[in-house]
Amino acid sequence: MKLSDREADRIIREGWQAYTDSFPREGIPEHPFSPAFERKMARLVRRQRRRENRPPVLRAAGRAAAILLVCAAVAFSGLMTVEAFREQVIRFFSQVFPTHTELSFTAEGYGEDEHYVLELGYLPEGMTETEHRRTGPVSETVYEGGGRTLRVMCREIRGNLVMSVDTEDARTDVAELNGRKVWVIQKNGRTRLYWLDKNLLISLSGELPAEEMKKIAEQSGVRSAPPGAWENTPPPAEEEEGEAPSAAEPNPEFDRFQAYFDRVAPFLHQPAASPQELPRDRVLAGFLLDQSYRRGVGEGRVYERDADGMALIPDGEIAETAEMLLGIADFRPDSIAEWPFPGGKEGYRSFDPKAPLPVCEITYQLTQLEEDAVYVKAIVNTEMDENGYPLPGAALIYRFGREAGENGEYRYPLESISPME
Amino acid sequence: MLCFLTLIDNEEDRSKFESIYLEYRSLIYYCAEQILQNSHDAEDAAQDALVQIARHIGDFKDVRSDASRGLVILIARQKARDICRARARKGCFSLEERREGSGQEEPDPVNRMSGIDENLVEILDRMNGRYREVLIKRICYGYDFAEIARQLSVTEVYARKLLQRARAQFIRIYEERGRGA
Repeated sequence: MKLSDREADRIIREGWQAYTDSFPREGIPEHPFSPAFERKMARLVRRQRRRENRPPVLRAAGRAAAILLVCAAVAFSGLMTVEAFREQVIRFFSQVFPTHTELSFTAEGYGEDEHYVLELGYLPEGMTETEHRRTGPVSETVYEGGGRTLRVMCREIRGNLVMSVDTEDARTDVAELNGRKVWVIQKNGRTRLYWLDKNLLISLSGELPAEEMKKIAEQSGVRSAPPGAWENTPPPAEEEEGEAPSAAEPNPEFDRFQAYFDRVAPFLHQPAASPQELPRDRVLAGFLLDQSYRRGVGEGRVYERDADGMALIPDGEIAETAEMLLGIADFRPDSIAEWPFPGGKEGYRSFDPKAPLPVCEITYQLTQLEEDAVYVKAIVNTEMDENGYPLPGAALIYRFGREAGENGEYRYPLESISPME
Repeated sequence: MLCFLTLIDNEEDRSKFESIYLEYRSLIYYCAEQILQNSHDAEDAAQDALVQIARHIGDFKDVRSDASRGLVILIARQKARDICRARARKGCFSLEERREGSGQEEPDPVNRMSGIDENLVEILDRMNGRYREVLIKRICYGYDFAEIARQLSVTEVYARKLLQRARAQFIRIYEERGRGA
């Protein structure tokens, strides 16, 4: 006998209900997602927040507007860019080793068809271009004259890029040229300069005096690639040994630190010479609750819930977090008068693990991991305009310690937050 | 300080996607993990599912409704199955092998989620994705045809046709499994 439509509907309805009911509605254990997952989701949440908060007229016209903006940017690239309408961030990490320095870059918010090229405004007299080639995202141009060579390399950053640079026995310095931080490496009579502009990592290398190299960097700039410029891909030529940075394996510590920093900056973005100076307020309380809960869940603890479903975090764990991550010994939770979540009970503080982080966009970030410290230069935007775009934020330098934990992973106690000069 | 208020704001102030993400991310993960039996793949599936939810955020009305929860599970399951299939194409050992003989059972927080009617979901897994979606939305959650048509960008007449075909496909697979007699 053939199954009737009505009977089929009943089987589907009851079967599907039984299946969905097999997952508990409450009390599903919080899964400790990986840092990479958390970062991707944080970006997705931010994008969605903007999309959904956009006024309906803009939302409806979004697609058309995007096309118009791109057209406008192509037609009037000198006057208008799409940058103002989209979060574009290059995150830069470096870790210094005795023999080399490892660099990691992450580009976010650059369109697939968005390419830039470098233009030099100054070249030493007598030097002329003798070679130019492009291989995928890398372009390289060689200038020669007067028995000297200058090599200019631009690498477009798409997603993640990790590389290592030979800095053994080298003299390194950071110069500020034309508003950009330029990393200067001098070794064996050769000078190399590295800097970031848009999503390009630019390097100059050659035997020219360092001051002359800096002048070249200072008078250079990037502009949108003219049509066709990016498709030019002649056959690859052999790299000259020691000139180009070599590719390196991704460093998982960069990812872990970034995931941690992404949860520090939304709470802690006021200058403080030491964590002791941080105001004992709801912001600090939120940070301590968030970190205590994450640490606890990561270590397999299950927190008791109050009648409102809030997790109850013991005061002892909060004090431990304050000591581990802020270096505040003997922290007393009752030194904070107002905690962000109501409820709790004697010796415990309430925390809603599903509460979103405070609004925060990091629109510029340079991170340097050293043996016992981590420095982060960041522009942190904590307020949005009515369209959900970040308002100008604070330029800050964070200094963290870098301490190896028992499980081999590092933890990063905050040491200071200072305004960037 | 003003921005910190978002830490304790009410749900209306969050984006809808954010609310769904916070409400269901662990459910999505465990649903995928139940199928894939592998934490790494389950995270990938959860990520794919959340991206799809973000793209179709307009399909979700009330975040905590049965319909939203059901759609979330449907999408998570679909993404996990996609990864299963990709894994099978690459020649990785199959889910069935792992389930039946490996003895690699790990403590699993969803073990207690028992009583699942695998027959029904297996039939749904074998169906065309669009048919499955129409079937669940219409029969289990009572979406009207106008809403289904809007979500699928088809005409209302075609949405009715899709349901008819979906039901026919379900009955055919059901009967092939020897359950219809």
